[in-house]
Amino acid sequence: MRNLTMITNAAPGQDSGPAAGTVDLEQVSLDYGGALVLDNISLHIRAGEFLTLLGPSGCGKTSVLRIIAGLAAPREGTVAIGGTDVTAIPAHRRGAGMVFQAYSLFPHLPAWENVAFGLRLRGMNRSRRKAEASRLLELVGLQAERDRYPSQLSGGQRQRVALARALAVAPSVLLLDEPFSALDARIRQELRDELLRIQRQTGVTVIFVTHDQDEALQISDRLALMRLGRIEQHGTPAELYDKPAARFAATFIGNASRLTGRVTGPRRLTLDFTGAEIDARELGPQAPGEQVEVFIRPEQVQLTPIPDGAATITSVTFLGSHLRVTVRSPSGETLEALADTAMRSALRPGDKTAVTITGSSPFTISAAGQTPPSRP
Amino acid sequence: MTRRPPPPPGTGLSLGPGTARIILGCAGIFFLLPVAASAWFAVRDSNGHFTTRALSSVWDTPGLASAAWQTAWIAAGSAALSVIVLAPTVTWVHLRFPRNRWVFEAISLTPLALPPVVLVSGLNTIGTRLPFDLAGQEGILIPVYTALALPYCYRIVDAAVSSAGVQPVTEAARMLGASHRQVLLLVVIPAIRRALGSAAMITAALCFGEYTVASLLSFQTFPVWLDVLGQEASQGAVALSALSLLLPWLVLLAASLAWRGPRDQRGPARAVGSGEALDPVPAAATGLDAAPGTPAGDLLMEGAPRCGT
Repeated sequence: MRNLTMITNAAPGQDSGPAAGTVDLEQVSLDYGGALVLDNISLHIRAGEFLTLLGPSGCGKTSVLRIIAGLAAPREGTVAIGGTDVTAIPAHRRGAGMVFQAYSLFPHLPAWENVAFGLRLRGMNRSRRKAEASRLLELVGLQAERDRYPSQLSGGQRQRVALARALAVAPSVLLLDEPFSALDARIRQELRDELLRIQRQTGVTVIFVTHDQDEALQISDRLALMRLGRIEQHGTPAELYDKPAARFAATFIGNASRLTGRVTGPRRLTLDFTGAEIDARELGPQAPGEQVEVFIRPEQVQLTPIPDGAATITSVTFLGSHLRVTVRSPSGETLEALADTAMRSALRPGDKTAVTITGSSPFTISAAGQTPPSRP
Repeated sequence: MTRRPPPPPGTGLSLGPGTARIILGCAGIFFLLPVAASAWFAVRDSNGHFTTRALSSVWDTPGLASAAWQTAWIAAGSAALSVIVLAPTVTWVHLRFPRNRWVFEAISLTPLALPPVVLVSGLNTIGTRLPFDLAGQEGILIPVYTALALPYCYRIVDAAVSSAGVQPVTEAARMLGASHRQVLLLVVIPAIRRALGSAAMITAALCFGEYTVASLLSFQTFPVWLDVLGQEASQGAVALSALSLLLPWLVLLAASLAWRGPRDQRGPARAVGSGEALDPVPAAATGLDAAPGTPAGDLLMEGAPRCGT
């Protein structure tokens, strides 16, 4: 591990032990001009954890980050970093680092001075901070560009400088506000990998904001799914993907086709689409005979092209590694499936196919309503 | 040392070279013709022959040095006060009242609507209620001239702060541990230094041209002294007047060129984010025309108000 702890950015009285990187939000609410932005958010983030706040635009995830950073004040509730209540402590004394969506580099300073800015504020002499900045720029692969000005760097390089700058002060918590959203797909992937490597290397607690579900699933230890200023569900990526607590989670994380079925017994239902009885996971109390919504992932669907198949292929999209196929039942329900590219010639729009639900059980929600969102 | 990259396409004023030359030529004639006419008048004798007698005799006139010195230090003080007041104020307005910036801009225009006589009357009224002779101190002109330059300076600094993206860089600096004072000194002021320089230049230029307030308050500043001289030796006064216009202009031209030097070669003073920002001091935002590629200060200087003269 690199020596990133020479300079500490710990808040006054803040614990420097194992709890140093914990973050606790307790019943935090925020409004802007009377409009409720955050509604009673509570969340505990463990030290060294990589937590992602995921949700659609406007759901309040950036507001959560800004409240943790001290750039916005909650109307109600408390924020603690490292076990210390920092609600009333200004941003520059909280011990958190932040990487912004728009980079926010200082235009009049070269890359190394941008990185060393926080060290300068802490009174480190020029030669030492230049050495520290060089080490950090090497960590993010930008040693050769250390004398360049931000305007002379590409978007990906600017974001690397911003990351190195935030790490320079050895923050107890690193906050990232959609840092890769302005970058192209290849650079995004590169930077994601780099961020994960650095996070593992430094052990810093990371709170990452994104509206990109793939990004969130790839890099997070834990996800907090937000909607309308509330946390709908939180857990590991696998938990949220496999066991969504409600309709919103089921549809926002990963692709899922929504079909209808009828409950036949405990965790059993008949799917209207295929007429077959299958196992299912319930998301709420369901009585036999009740009509329910059934959410099926594309990878749970197996297609067998046969002339007397019940479903009709409506579209086939080539995605490189696999095919995305949409099929329609006689009743008009549509279902999305993934297929091997080897089946490309056998799966053509207009052809008939049999549909089988395989793999893990689909999850169901009572058609009458959805289960209340879980509380963290 | 790396070189400054060329500006991205579409960020400059797209005028053809011919059009730009015509505009520059017209502007040059507009600004230089009165100076040339004054100079012509100053170096001709009654028979129409060339002479420098009027100009050389002016240097021996009593009061020149003291008037010039007095104006110079008032100009320096006013320029400094402009920068000291405007940099934090405009930054504060951008950070705390971003949606109400127009209110502050409107307030900054009020000196334009205030007749100098009213201003002086107000100063005298305040002066009589103070235990010391405020109106009798030359230093009183420093805040007065700073206020008179406010309508021009505020817009320049406001445009620069806007272009520099002050909110994101302020938040970034705060997250790195900077206090508000450090944000201002280490981040905002370096990012808007050219605009602050232009504001200082305009204020100084105004001081060298303002007559009415100084005259009403009975101070012998350079313009007032020049007016007195003009009643006795009009040719010499006109010669000195032309010089007084040209000399600061040349100084400001040199200053502008110096600002375009090494620091700007290293990188532009603009916010660096996912979007590209505008030039820190767009000429249009100053309300005074400065052609792209020309030092902002020279034309700003020429366009600066010469109140009461």
